[in-house]
Amino acid sequence: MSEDFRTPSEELQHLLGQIGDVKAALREIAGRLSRIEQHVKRAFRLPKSPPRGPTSPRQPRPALPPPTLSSSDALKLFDELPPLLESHWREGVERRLEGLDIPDLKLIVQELGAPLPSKPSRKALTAAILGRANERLLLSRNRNITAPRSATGDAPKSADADGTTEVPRRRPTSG
Amino acid sequence: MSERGPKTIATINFKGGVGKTTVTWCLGDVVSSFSGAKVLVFDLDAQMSLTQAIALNEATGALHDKFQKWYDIAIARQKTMFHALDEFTKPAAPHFDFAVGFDFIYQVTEDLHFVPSVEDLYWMELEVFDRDGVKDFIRRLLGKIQNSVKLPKYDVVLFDCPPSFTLLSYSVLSCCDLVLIPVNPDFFASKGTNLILNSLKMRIEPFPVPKIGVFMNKTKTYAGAPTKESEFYMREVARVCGQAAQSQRVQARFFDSWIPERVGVKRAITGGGVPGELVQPFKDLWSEMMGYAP
Repeated sequence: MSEDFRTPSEELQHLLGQIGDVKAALREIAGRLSRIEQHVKRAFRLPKSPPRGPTSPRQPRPALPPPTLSSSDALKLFDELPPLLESHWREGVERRLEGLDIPDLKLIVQELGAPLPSKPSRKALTAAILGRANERLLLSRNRNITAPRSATGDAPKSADADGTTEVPRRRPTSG
Repeated sequence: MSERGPKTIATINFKGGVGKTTVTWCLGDVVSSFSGAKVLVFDLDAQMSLTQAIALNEATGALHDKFQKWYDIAIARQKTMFHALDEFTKPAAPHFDFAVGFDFIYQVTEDLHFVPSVEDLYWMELEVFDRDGVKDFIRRLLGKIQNSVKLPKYDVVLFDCPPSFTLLSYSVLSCCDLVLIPVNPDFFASKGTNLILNSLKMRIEPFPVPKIGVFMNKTKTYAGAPTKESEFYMREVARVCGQAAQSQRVQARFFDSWIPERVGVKRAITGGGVPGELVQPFKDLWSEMMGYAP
């Protein structure tokens, strides 16, 4: 800390003020430069944007290695995910997919017919797979609150004849 | 009609827009045209989509006046589904006194006949109190049609049901041979299957639950085959059918046959026929349906 300041925060304030001054000066210089550039272009009738020099051909993105999974493997692996999603939430699925490389994740997304993200990052591909797993859970889920429990095939042992479950009554306390 | 009566099939899904009306009509058209069967199609939806589509068809062609005049006469003579149900639910009437003939059934072609809907069916729900009594309505009405000397013996009866459990759909589902559920390759249409499969048995007991057939309608295709997305929903709906068959103890099957998505299919009713490329898919669906519920 410099001796001109009593506390570090005072020095920080001062530095921030100086940075602000420099930025304002740079903005002014940039503005002046733009005005000069426009003036020159008008004077010499140059196009607004300078012609591009010879560009090197765009380098193709390095191709992803082929997936190690087959289509049926991808679908089998997907079948493991909805139970994981149900029991261990999102983290469970993410853990299961952690070991897979991008090409395999991409293959699973393709096999599930989910929209493929334009930039297939691990995060985007995992999100697409999670979406499909969630759809499967929702498609199978059925909450019919008026149905007797027996109608849903999971009748409790203590169900009454009409299918309702008897609520244990509290024993009256004496005294 | 055979000794045991016509084959009765109800097309239903609680999700709107899955193609219930178009599928019902196309099946009726294809079956009556190519198998020589006598087909009767009921429009049970108070939205009257099928009825209006037929009227629209006729607005552009020769049949317009014929249907419109026939429909006006049917209403004037009180020969509509509303009047039949009204008669059936009259508390004072000891018998179901409703004569059926070609003033109640419209002849689209020689082999394809049609019972239109009326808007008043909307309000019927509010007026009828004996809901359990209504369950028997369609069964009794079909009995009248079967025994009428004025009418042909129908081989197939198709019901275009509304996208909800109305009294009429309740009544149809209590007596039909097969419930046909069209689904689409999207989440919400597929979800409708789960809803029906898991509530049908409870709603129509003590009547036996009919066989349930589910198939993919409006299938998105690429190079003549279903897209991966369509295949995903096919697998998922098949899975839901299997789960419901186990947990609800109902007979539910997901058909292998699928109907591709075609813009032109909407004109199958209004434009006078099933598009050529859809005839074979509907034939395939029909033969699979008959193999499942002969």
